[in-house]
Amino acid sequence: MPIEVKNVSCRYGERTPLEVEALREISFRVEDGEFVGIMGHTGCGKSTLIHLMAGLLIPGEGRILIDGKDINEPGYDREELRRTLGIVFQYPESQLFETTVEKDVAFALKHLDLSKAEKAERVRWALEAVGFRADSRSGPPEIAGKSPLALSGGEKRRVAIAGVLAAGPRILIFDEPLAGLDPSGRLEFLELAARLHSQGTTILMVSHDADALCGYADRILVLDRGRLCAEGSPEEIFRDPGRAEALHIGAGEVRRIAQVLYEKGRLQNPEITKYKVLLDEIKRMIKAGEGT
Amino acid sequence: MQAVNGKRIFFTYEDDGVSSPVLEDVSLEIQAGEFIAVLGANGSGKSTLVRLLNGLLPLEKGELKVWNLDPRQESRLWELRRLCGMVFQNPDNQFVSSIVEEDVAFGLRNYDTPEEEIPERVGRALSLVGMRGYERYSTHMLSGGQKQRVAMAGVLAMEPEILIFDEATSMLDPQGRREVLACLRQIHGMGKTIVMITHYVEEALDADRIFLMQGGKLRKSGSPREILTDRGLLAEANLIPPLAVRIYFDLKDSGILLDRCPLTKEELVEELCRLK
Repeated sequence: MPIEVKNVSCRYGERTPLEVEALREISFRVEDGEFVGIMGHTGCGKSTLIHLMAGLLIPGEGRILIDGKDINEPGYDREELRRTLGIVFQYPESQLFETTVEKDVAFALKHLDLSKAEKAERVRWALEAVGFRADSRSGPPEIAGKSPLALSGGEKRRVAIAGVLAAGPRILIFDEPLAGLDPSGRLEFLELAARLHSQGTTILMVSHDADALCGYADRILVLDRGRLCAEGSPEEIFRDPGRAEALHIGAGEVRRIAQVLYEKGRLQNPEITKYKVLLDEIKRMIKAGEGT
Repeated sequence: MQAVNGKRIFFTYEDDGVSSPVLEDVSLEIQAGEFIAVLGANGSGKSTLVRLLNGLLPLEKGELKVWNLDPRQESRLWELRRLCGMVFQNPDNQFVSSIVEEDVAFGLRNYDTPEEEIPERVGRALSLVGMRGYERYSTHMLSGGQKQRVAMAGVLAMEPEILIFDEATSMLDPQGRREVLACLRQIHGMGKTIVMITHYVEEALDADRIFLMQGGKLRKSGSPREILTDRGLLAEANLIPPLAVRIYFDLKDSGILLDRCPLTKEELVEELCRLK
């Protein structure tokens, strides 16, 4: 289900003295099964853009098509959009509200036509997907019976994500999913996203973390003051570190180290944005040095 | 002078009769003027620990002195909170006023500061965080980094000795983080004691000492080099070392040994350039 954003503009507070232009003439396409990162300075329009794609805002101009259908056209089946597309907001744990984890995760299934057993299975699957393993083959993980409010911050985040996964969306949008997570929590989340991606889910992820996006995303979109100002592979986006800096998207540590090693004449190519590639290049560099 | 002296602190959260221990037998000392970074996985007890310091959570068991005050002594709690200020994670959750100068003055007014002193103290605090000139701005028009700096100004206006940052940069973009960290270094340079909780190991590189929390215990305190280059220790605490350290160990695992373990990317580059 490709997503097509066609010439979209969006303003807040239109025809008031506080009118601001949040997005101007944005066009891009996300293919089925892609992992796309969205970067940009605070206030550049990232959140507006994903709210538009999720149908939570209506663009002033332009169209948004999912699977060829305009989601803002009268008669469009919004229910289908809700089933197709899941959105995990910033700090999603603040939306937990049910008395138990199980009920919270199952909330999105209420309107789906599923049997009780099917719902229980979905909840169990979603909790497992975010790393809560059940002890027995049949029962749900231990956490299912706990109050979501009594969990640690990292656990709450995972439960909130499970609540979105349970509905089985084919497109997942994450708004700053890494903020506030500890390093292993970040890695766990990224591995989860990669796993969902490898199973065919389309992923759109807003993040300030260049290393994380470069490690996982196929493509990165960069917004600056409401405009789509760059689009390409991680290597292309950070090809010119000065330009990236001007767009307020600092390169990640991996790219920075590669740049310094390149400037010192140790690496042939500074355009490295993935940790594993950097490590391999350093090994190669050391072996080559030993050979001479 | 000791800024903080805690001995054998325990803390337990009660929920529906179920008690979960969060801090177990934590003893710590912080000298005045020190910059301490607190690292630890989610749920390791970092936030609980710092909330005990200014009495946001009640000390149940153990001894604690903060700037020579006992947080249990209720009559001096206001004094303690003035001396030990906190900046929290979410810049939008800590504003009490929609105008910058009103927000910064909030604490001062609560402490019955004479009205004629307030503009000067607010101005001074805003200068310290590089926000002079924003007095009449609406708080919601500011960027994330600016909001956190205004929150810092609100704390600084109280002329505290100890500043606690509880993941104060985690919601900011890279530029906002840089702004806040630059301010923090400047405040440390003025001789204030800083306690900073962070998940970004690079932010801990500047600290005098790191407290590593693990499962409710203060697992180890030491210099950034001591803590962050100890791969086994970090793995046990469920943390990931800085990039330079990761590269060092991954090279070591494949049979390439550098002379010493670099802590920063500059040191890594230096080590790599020394080879040949």
